[in-house]
Amino acid sequence: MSLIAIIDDDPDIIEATSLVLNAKGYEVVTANNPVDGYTIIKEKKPDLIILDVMMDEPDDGFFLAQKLRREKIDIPILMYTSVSKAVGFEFGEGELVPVNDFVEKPISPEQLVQKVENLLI
Amino acid sequence: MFRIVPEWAYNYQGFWDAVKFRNIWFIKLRYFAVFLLFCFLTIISYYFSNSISSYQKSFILKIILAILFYNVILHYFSDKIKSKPKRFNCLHYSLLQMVLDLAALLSLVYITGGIESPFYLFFIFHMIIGSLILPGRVVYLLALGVISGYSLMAFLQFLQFFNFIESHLISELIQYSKTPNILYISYELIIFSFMIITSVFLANHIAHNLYKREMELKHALDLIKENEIAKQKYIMGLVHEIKTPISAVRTMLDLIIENFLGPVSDEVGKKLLQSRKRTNETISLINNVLRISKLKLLEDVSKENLFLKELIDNVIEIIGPEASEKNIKISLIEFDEKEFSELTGDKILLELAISNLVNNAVKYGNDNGRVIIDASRNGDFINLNVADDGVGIPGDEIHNIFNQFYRASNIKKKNKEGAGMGLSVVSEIIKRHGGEIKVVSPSKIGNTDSPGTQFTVILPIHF
Repeated sequence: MSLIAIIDDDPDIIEATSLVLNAKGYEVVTANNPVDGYTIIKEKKPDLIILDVMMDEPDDGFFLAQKLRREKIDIPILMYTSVSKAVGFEFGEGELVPVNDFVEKPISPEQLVQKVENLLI
Repeated sequence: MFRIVPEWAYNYQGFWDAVKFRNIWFIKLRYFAVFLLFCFLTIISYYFSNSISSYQKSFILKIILAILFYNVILHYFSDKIKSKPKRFNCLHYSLLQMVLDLAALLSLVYITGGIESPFYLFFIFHMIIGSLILPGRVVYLLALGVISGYSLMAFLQFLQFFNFIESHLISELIQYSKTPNILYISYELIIFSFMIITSVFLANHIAHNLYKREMELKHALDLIKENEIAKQKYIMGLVHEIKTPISAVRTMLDLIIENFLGPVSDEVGKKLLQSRKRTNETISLINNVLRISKLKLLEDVSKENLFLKELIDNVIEIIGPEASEKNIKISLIEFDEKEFSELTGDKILLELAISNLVNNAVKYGNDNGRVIIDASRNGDFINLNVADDGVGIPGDEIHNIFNQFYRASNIKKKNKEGAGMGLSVVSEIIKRHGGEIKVVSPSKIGNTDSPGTQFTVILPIHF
């Protein structure tokens, strides 16, 4: 079964996401900051990364995504944001964020499962 | 380049626009002056032919042609002059016009009787205009130039009295003094100089005060803008912080409602559903606040080609499920897509605006109701109507609905949840596109029981 890494600084979101994914039969590894996140990705080589923007961290989710892509790690990334694209808070025009999909928090279980399934095909 | 622009105006577009506008105005005025001078020459040649020599006539004609010539050149270059403070700019252009005009005027005064020519009054007119637009030191220099020119004229007059040089009088028109009168010439010179300096001083003083005032206002405006940005950033930060825990709550509620943690009783389930509904409301309020703040921080919105039908279809698709719950039928009146092919705007923002309007129509619509969307072109504008046959808005409250947090009284009575932010997002987006939004209630599909509401968005085709 696929292994999914969840990297988010909100423990409740980690717990909820893990619960849903476990229930669907996925294995899950988690980290609550980008630094640990990077380590578990290197060690466990997950099939999918669910990455929060984590704007409060010094090296945020974007930074980690870019770092991974620079190191030619092309595991699909689903990015959690708390602000939608329409608001455009993080996404300046022309800013290339090397992730495969975005989802705005809060995300419903069905939506999460659907996005994950799409990225794992 | 000789810098004559005050520093505060360097990046102040309002200043440059005013200078450019004045330059064009001067050029037009000069054409009129050429016309008047030509009339003057014609009249004097026909009716006072004895009083003017052919030399004078040809001299005046040359002056008129010279003015016309340089005015045509000035006119040609008028829109090519840039607003760069450190290079040749439109304020230098004004100064150049001024110098050319003063030279032409000096020649005209010389050939029509020297210091006794009535044309000398135009020096004062020119100096007042100059004082209003040029910085003090430049105008005082010009004033000094004018006084020197006039003094030279006085000196020439003195020589003319003794017939050292030829005098150019228009004798029938003006009574000139026949005898040399040093006292008279001195008076004339002193009073003229005094008048020029006083006019320059007063006009410049007034203009300077006005500029100072303008600078203060501009400064205050900048400060307001800065504060507005700080305020919006603060709101975004704060609201964003509120959103994080609420999102976590929503996610937890989802888990429980969808039985990820085991079954819950129907009674608890109902309360949980209501909790989720209220949480969703808060989240949509938060999103709207974030959107408004973001829009206010946005310098400009993107301009892309839009396909109106696709945009509306997207919206209908998104809102479809909610509408089916209440059995509300959303229909788009077919229109010719070609009519709107030039439409430009920000796709994401306009989709958001239309979706907020349709969403409102569904939210406040009655079960089994209708929502009708139609678009038509009206010259360079498109009119987009979203009409419903829902609860409508009481007539005396209709002007308030675009205010933040405003919710009509009849909606509150019906216990419809909402925070009243959706329409202010729409209004802000439409404003950003240079358009306007109107609302009427009852709508065209309403009836006595459910009057309905109709929003009309008017957008310029070429945004």
